[in-house]
Amino acid sequence: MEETLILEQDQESSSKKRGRLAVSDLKEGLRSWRIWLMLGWQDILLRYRRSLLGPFWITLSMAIMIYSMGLIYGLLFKMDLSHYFPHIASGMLVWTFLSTLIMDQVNSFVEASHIITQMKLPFSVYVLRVLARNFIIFFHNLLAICPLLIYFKTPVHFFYCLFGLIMIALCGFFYGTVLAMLGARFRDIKPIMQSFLQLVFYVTPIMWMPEMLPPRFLFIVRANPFQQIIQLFRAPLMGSFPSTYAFFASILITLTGFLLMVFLMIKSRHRIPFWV
Amino acid sequence: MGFIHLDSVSLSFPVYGAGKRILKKELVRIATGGVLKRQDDKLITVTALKNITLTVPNGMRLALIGHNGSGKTTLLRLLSGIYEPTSGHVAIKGHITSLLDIMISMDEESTGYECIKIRGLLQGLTLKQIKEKTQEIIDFTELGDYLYMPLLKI
Repeated sequence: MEETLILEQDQESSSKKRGRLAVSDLKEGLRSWRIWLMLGWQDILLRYRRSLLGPFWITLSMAIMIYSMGLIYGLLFKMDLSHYFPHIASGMLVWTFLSTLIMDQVNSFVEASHIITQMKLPFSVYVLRVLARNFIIFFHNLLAICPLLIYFKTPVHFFYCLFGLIMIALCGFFYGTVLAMLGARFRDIKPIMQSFLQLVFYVTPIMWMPEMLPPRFLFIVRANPFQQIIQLFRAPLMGSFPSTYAFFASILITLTGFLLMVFLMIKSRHRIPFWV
Repeated sequence: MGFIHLDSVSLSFPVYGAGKRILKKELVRIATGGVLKRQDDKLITVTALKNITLTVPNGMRLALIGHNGSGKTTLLRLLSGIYEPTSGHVAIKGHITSLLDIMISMDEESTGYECIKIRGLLQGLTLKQIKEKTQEIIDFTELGDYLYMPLLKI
């Protein structure tokens, strides 16, 4: 296995080289799918080792949460359960996915510090590992709401669901890299994100429905980037289509994430080993 | 033919956690337009490697000797590609396998077999290549069936 590895750092050419190294990091990272899939899967295996249900604890705890919440809040808000139940269930499903993903990603370089400082792997591997891990958990969680979809005979639009997941994966990769770098450099980011996500949970229509809002407050829903991404997957899961607005907003959000990632990777990728 | 060539390589890196630039101070710095900056600017920087020129031709064995904190690990990390030099030029031909930490990514709950698989994949092997080498590794460890147990118990 002969390969040439030439690292150069000359004053005049360093910015161009940094760009090239950043791009090759991203490319090599994607190419190392064996590593990040395995690491992500191993994380889950270790978490549930020696437990009876193993990873299906994820499914079970999600099921307990959504079915109890759906019933309790449905009765509390005096909602029509056939409408409200799938709404809160799908909302909690996607929200749990996004919020754990974001919190894990802030930590992805920090938790991998033992590998980062001992061996050379593309940095994107660690971001993709966290993404893979959260996707595996998400698919376990998805099982929990299947009985509900079957019971209420929801006409799921699988193709649109898939599109939504792809957008979440892209955003997860782009913003994940940004968050991982910020989280490694500034350790305050983690508690900040925790509080921020708490706030987002309340202003995003997950437990409540947009129709409950007086029309003059509807801008809260429209201006919320999380809602647009969530809708991409949630709407087709509930048998409707994401709005054109949500569609274009998500594309804009994803592109912004991409540019942020490229900018930060070029600017500070080489400093990551010093941060962790 | 592999080689390692360093040409006047220097590496200095910042040390965090000494209470210096945390986010609050960064925000204060932005908000105050650099008035407070002068006090906080003393970010601790360590110059670990200074003007190192080195050529290791194919087949050469090289031992690195130095006192604690002299930069041995830093140099090895630089050669492994973990650190990139602050200035100078590094050229390496061939495949670098660093063994800075023999326990890398081995969780104590993992079994011996899992460790073989994980380490192999980290090293860039495919599952098929790992399978081919597994018997050889088992023989080398002399652990036999104990490899089915968690690392903690071996």
